[in-house]
Amino acid sequence: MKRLLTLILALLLILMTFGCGESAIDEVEEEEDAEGELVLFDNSDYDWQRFKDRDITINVFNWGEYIADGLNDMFTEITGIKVNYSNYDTNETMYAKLSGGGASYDVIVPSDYMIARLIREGLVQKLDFANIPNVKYNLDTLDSSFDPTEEYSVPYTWGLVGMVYNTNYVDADDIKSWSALWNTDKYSGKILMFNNPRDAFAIAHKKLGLSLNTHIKKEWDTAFDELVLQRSHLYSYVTDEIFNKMESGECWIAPCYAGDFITMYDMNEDLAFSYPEEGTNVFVDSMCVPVSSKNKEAAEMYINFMCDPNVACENINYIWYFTPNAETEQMEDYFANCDLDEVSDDVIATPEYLEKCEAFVALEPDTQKYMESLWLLLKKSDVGWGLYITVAAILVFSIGLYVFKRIKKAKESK
Amino acid sequence: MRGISKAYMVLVMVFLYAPIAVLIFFSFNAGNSTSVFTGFSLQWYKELFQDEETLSALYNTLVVALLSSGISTVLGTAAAVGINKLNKWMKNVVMNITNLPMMNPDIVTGISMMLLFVFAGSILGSDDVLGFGTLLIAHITFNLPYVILSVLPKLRQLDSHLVEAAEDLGCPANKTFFKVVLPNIMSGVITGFMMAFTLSIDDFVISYFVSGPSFQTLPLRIYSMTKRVVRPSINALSTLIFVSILVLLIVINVLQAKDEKKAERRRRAAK
Repeated sequence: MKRLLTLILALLLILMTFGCGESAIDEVEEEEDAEGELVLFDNSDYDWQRFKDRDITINVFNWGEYIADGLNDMFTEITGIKVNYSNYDTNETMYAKLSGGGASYDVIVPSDYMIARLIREGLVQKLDFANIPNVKYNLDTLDSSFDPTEEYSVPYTWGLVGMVYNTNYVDADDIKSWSALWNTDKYSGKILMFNNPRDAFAIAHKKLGLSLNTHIKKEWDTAFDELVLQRSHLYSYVTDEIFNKMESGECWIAPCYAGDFITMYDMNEDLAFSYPEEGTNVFVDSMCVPVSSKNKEAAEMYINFMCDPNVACENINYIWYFTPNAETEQMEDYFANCDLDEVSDDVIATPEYLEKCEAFVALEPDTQKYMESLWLLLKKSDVGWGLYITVAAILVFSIGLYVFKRIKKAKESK
Repeated sequence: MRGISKAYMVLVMVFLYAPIAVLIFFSFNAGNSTSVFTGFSLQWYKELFQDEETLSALYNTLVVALLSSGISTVLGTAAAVGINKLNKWMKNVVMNITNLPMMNPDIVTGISMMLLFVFAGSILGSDDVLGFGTLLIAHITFNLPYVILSVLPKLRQLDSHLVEAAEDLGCPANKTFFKVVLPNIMSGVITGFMMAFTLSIDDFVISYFVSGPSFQTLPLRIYSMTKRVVRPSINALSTLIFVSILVLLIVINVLQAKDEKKAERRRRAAK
């Protein structure tokens, strides 16, 4: 026993030192790289140092895995402002945390429809663009209907929903339209679909040529019928499983974000991507300052830093979503470290195509409720039988057990 | 029949340990997929030790787990000693009250605690109370019943004549507790501590509501990663945690076995 223990401990120790040793070497290399490469694009007349000795810490609340390594450190180095970085996984959890109170955040990065809601509820404040001069680099072609006056938010990344497909099994000609996800003759059982009502209905709406922000009940009903048609031919409704199912070739077609496709392509080069001709949903994740912020100016400095073309480029090369930064788009390093070359034309959308795309706008409460009830209806019959069978099996089993015990007892008492 | 029972055991083991085995297996994957194995490498371990966010989250988790389980072990043991002395009716009442946080769904505990902290914060005039302090208080709260539950049976088993004998021989109450009672219930205290520690390490729901921006724990960090692909460096981290806990458990078991052997020997010698 003792020997086994020593063996395990020794193994653990070796593993640890191995990891540590190598990481130390790499860190040195990386530091050299960083010093050599990443400098600010335009340093001219912005005073980065004005909070240097004030010992300020800002709380940044961002999606998980949504910033390039080292950018926060670089910001601290330049400005002397410390960054407290924490993560959330959906807009809704972020909202819960923000509206719950008890914590003050300085910078948050919600998506379009959530920004509209935060503005409506007065949870974010107007920005002082004198402190964010780098905003001049941002594209003005992006849909900003969620923040019509553009006073509350500065775009961080954006992207489009398209379709990823496996070229070994799927004809490129079939994939021109959203109807590929309804192509039940050829691809039945190999199709994936988004597992949340807003995204799923958006695809159905777009396929039918309707607006994805419609308030007409009938249009939701027709979209519902469309989704019912598709349901029995799906592999399943998924969220994160898309990556594994597509990479392993288990499924052939799935809707997905362009940035996520690049991640998948890295794993499986048989995958390809396409934007359906009917147009699609565009999302914008923007930086905002909540009203609870205590260091608004420092928060604006952070936003300005993120808008620097060089910083944005570094960031995008990690996230692989699109940049709202016009200057970054022109850079040679933009998307430099992915194997994108051959597929880039498919992934980068033309301005004409963008015309056909729509961002989510917060739905009226009535419509929201109606959509959720339709979604429940759609999913209910999905699991119904399994659930009933399980419940029945448990019932039969427990009754059987009870009867068995009774019989046994009766026999014993005899 | 024997074959069937053996097969059943194997099946149980497979179900229990296959997920962990797969997780460990893929932590050594050369590619970054969690489903296709492309070759052996330690790169994810390397990446793990460079990921400062994750390491600091791990550090935070360990600090909270150690502190909260330590404090709740002390409080819980004291409480158990008190509860043990109550009459039957009172004991039932107090036990039900202490069990409440354990029976309550995590999400209810989490939200109610958050509301309480925010409310208390607003009285104190602070609008960012959520942080290390609140997290620690919450963890102590949900750890307590487990400690009490594992210490109480040991106290019940304790021969009350032992305590009386010590007092008869003129031992002061304090000393009786530390010299006579505590050594006899030690295994229960350790079990309680271990339970509290592991519960605190993997708590997500309550931590989610009561933590602030300045203090993020590992489960929160890992969960936020799932929006996009979970990187295999998390497999590497889980592997290391699994191995460390395994080692810890083995050490405790070995120590306990040794103690029992010693006690056995002593008993025999006494005879």
